[in-house]
Amino acid sequence: MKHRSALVRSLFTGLFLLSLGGFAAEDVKFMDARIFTPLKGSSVTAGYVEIENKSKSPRKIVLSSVEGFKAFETHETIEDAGKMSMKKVDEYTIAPESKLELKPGGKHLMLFDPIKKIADGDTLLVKFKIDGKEHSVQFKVIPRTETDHSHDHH
Amino acid sequence: MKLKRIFQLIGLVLLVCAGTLGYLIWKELKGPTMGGNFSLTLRGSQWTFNEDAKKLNLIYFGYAKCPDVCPMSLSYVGTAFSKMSSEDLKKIRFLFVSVDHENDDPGNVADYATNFFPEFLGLSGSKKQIDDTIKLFPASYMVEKNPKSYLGYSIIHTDRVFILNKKGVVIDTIDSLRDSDVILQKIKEHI
Repeated sequence: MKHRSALVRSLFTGLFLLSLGGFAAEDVKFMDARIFTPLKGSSVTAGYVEIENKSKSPRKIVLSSVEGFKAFETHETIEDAGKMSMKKVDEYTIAPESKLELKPGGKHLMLFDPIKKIADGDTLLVKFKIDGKEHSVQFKVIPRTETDHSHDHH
Repeated sequence: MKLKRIFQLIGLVLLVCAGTLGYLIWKELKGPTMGGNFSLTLRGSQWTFNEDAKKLNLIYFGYAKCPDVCPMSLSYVGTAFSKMSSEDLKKIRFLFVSVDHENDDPGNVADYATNFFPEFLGLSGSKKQIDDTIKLFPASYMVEKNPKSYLGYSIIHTDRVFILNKKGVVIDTIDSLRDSDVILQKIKEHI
């Protein structure tokens, strides 16, 4: 009996701690995940996604793997008086109950040297670590020249 | 004595007005001074602006390994071009100049430019050719080494399109490259 109540107490404590800061998959939602098809004449491309943090705690997101590319990094484009520069970042932090949009001209996944043929319509598995726990997202490969980047959000 | 001071004051005001007017007239007659002729490389052959210029010429400085800004800006310009009539397309040329002389070769730059519109010209060149060209325009670039990145570098560069007349003189600038209709409107103002 004593053991059972201790177990229940531990369970509730665990759930309480999880609600405070632990990661649950449903806490973080990925939307409109896309990678532009690599262009002729270039060995790099970029990926974009909208990430929503529904929890009451900030979330740290680290890119851990991207299918089909030799190397991958998280970057941020910065504009200063008509000049564009790019900064490599180790992680993105999303404030509680807010969204982070990776979009052209801003934060983006930078992908180097495709190791297989990547074509329009493919889907590529991208893995992130959210506060240390792995989370997989399917990114759709879309042509760079098809749209004006005014992408519909699903 | 007082009258003399008034005449002196009126004379001074007239002199300032005449000077200002003269400067404005001189500036108007002189016209824009940025731009000029330049030579670069197109698929391994020398390409000289004044031998191949059209009525209207657009120029953009970037690099083929730019993953985010260059392809975004170029795709908006490409979309603007795809909205133009075939008659207007005969009068206009778009030049993409790579400032990455160490990593971009003439073949890949020329291929890269055509991703966005088949008639876009992708030009490259030696460091001297690129520097001699970019200094003609209100543009710049700077290679930033980044050993922590897989690429090892990135290039800070101007993200603007300059509109040139047949002589290579800058007649306008497109500062905002995030709307193909705005780009098209600017082109139509000059074509």
